[in-house]
Amino acid sequence: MNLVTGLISFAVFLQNLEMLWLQKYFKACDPWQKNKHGLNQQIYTLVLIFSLVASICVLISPSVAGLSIMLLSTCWISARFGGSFNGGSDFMTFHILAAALLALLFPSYERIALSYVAAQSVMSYFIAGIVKIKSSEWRNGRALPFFLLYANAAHESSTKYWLAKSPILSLIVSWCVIVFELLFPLSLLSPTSAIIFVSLGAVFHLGNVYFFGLNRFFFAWLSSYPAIILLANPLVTGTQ
Amino acid sequence: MFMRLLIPSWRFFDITGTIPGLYVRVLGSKDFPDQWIDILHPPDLHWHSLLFNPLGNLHHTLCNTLDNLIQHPEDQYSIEVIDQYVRYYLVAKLQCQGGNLYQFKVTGSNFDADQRNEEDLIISPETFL
Repeated sequence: MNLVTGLISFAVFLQNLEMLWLQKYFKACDPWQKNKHGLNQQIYTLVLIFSLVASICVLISPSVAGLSIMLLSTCWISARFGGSFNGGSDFMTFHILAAALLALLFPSYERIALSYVAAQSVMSYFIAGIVKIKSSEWRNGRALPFFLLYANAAHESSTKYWLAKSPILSLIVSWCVIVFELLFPLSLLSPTSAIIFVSLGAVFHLGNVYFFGLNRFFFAWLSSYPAIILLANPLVTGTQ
Repeated sequence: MFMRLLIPSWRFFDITGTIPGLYVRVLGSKDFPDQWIDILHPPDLHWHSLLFNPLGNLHHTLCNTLDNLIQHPEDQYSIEVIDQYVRYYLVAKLQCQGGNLYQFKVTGSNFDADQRNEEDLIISPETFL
């Protein structure tokens, strides 16, 4: 669990750096200004600094206080932006922080906390796979070009046009994504399958960073991978 | 608000969703053509965006707000957020002066036979900047 805690602390550290950098942007324009829950800009900045320091402290040595500060600031930032700042990555960050806090408060529940993190990670891929296989557009390979060309988060790159303009390549990549997501629960079968699936997962998220700029997702999901690898290991799950 | 945080849907890249667009136009000004301008562009990506991509994530947040607005067109809070952003864009990016009349619209694109089938969903009243 220490590795999960360390990785999620690093993710929160990067998230807080981004939020602090955005403070100068929000001085000029803060569309969400009416949702600060009575807190002014200085207090908001202070919360971010506290969370940043807490993430560094937890990286060095996990503590209940540090994890609590990170968890509360994640909730508060989500509330400030009307539910979440970054969608799925905020959700995953919140659940991993909550599990890490639970494991630290009640060490006997560490395996339950690990299982919870692994379950959230596995479910996220599996549900996304179900959604895609139920869609005829994903099955025939036409959804991928649509997202690459028209999604607002999609960045300009020659690769995306190359991929989007080739129906066969789009079909192959679409089915690779669908099969990978649907089979992800198999990662829990053995340490080898866990390593294979989380490696594919890391590549998948790097692809999402390249095409859609979703860097927070990469680190949030990366934090859940040690839980999957540990749960897949019979020496951990079978003998304790 | 916290339900989404507690019970995430994990429905990533669901094709049944509508992809939003955001356009603005300045009315009755000599300096600006009376045409809708697309103002929803992701910032450039760099190699370091893997570690640090604040503007990209802010863009993502704005898109999430537009998604929410499309699902709940009556949501006054989302409308105010978008209006604030549009005002900022007009002044900071388009160098539009106060006193000009502006209008924004939110569009939705649906998947339809490989084409972007875009329709106007919300058109704001004409407002002075």
